[in-house]
Amino acid sequence: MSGEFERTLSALRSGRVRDADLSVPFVRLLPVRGCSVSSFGVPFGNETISASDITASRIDEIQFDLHEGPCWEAIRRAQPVLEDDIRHRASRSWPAFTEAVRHEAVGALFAFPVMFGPLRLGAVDLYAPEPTPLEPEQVEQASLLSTAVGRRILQRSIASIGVGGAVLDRAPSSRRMVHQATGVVLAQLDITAEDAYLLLQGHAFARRRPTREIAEDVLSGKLRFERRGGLIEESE
Amino acid sequence: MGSNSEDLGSGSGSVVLSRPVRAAIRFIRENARSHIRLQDIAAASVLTPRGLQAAFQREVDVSPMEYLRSVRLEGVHRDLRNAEPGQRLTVAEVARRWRFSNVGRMATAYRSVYGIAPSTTLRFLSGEDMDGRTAPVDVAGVAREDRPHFRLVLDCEVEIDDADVMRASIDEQLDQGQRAWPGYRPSGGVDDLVAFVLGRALRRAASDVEGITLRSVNPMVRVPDPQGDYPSAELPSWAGAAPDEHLDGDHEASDPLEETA
Repeated sequence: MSGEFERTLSALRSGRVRDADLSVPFVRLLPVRGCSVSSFGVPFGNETISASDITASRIDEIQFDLHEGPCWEAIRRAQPVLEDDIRHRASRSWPAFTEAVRHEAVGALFAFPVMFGPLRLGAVDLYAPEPTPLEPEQVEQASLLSTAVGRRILQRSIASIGVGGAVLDRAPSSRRMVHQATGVVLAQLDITAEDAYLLLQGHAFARRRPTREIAEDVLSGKLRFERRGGLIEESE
Repeated sequence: MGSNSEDLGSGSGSVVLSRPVRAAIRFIRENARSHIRLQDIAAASVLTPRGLQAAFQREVDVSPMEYLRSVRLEGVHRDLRNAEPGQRLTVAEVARRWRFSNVGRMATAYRSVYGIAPSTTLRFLSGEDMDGRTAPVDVAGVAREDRPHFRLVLDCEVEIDDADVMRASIDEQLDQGQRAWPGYRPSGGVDDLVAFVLGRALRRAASDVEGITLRSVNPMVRVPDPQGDYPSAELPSWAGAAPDEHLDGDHEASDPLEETA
């Protein structure tokens, strides 16, 4: 992959890009006019975090309102949804959305799920004013960028409830247990220790439970993270 | 009717769904698992059944009942995907759950939307992982504490030749091989990444051997002090039972979470 792509990806991963600018790299690297990055659905809430222009935020808004559209589909299927000619060959899965978006300058629309392992956090919407195909390599690049955004959105959600909040209990025994559970997650998945910890916190956040309780479930074997069909699933 | 469309269309001039149709859509989505009739949807939309049908057809291009069916198919798809292996879920059960009276007809519709049979979704997602191996059955919890177990410390010292080359090499490996999930790439410092790579190798090696289970992996990174000495590192003394609290003060630094924070 190109040097510019790699540089952009590492900038996204490092946190040097501000939340409000998360949509910028997508527009710069891909043949699209606009982009929006949003959290969608329960439990992370519907919120546009970064939109490159009015149309991009409008596309989000319509989907928030209607509760249907490519974003929802991308999140549900945990796969990109590619509509390269939405005016003439739109999917029949979201008739209301198609109808509503017909009045926007949108010819092609691509939605990528934003996930962190099993956690479905939101979606990235890309649009072009005219029908536009995406090459497989571009789909791969957009997926990689979306995954990098996933870590950011999750960190953001966890930070929003504040350190010392209900999710992370600072008592030493809790911390020890969470640490121990992180090691168990590391025996289950090929991720870094920091990401394993983030996964525990995200899981706790999604269920509105303290991280310590999640850690207990991991330690007792009640909760496992497993790869299945290319996706991570939680078995409880 | 007309006035409703008008007032929604004002402003940006872009919202074309009238309020009754939106209300109907919402009602359908919320009640798709119940038995609902056209009259119920119409009541929720404050139109007559005939009025709703006309509005729906005009604005959404399908009838309300067709729309309901597609929402239910979506539900079937979701449930099949989320099925757990131990659950012994059947396609017929899911179809009933979503109020399809005829499983065969549902399957045909499902195939035309998703391109595969519903049973394939169920089997693929609950049976096998990408290697074609059967997903591990959850044996944890069954006399887990009774099985003999021990901890093994592999103390490694790693030299950094070129950090950028290392990063690029890890990314390349992951792009080609199996990743934790699509698009996953580790982030962090050199020590985090080396811990990641070695942990990965460890998991692989342990899974190649029958008869053991790798319970946990705990990277503990130590960097040399200015004199070039490594601070001593003691194992945190956690047991299966409640952790020992008094050790905490002394061993803060042995927590990799603290170091990466």
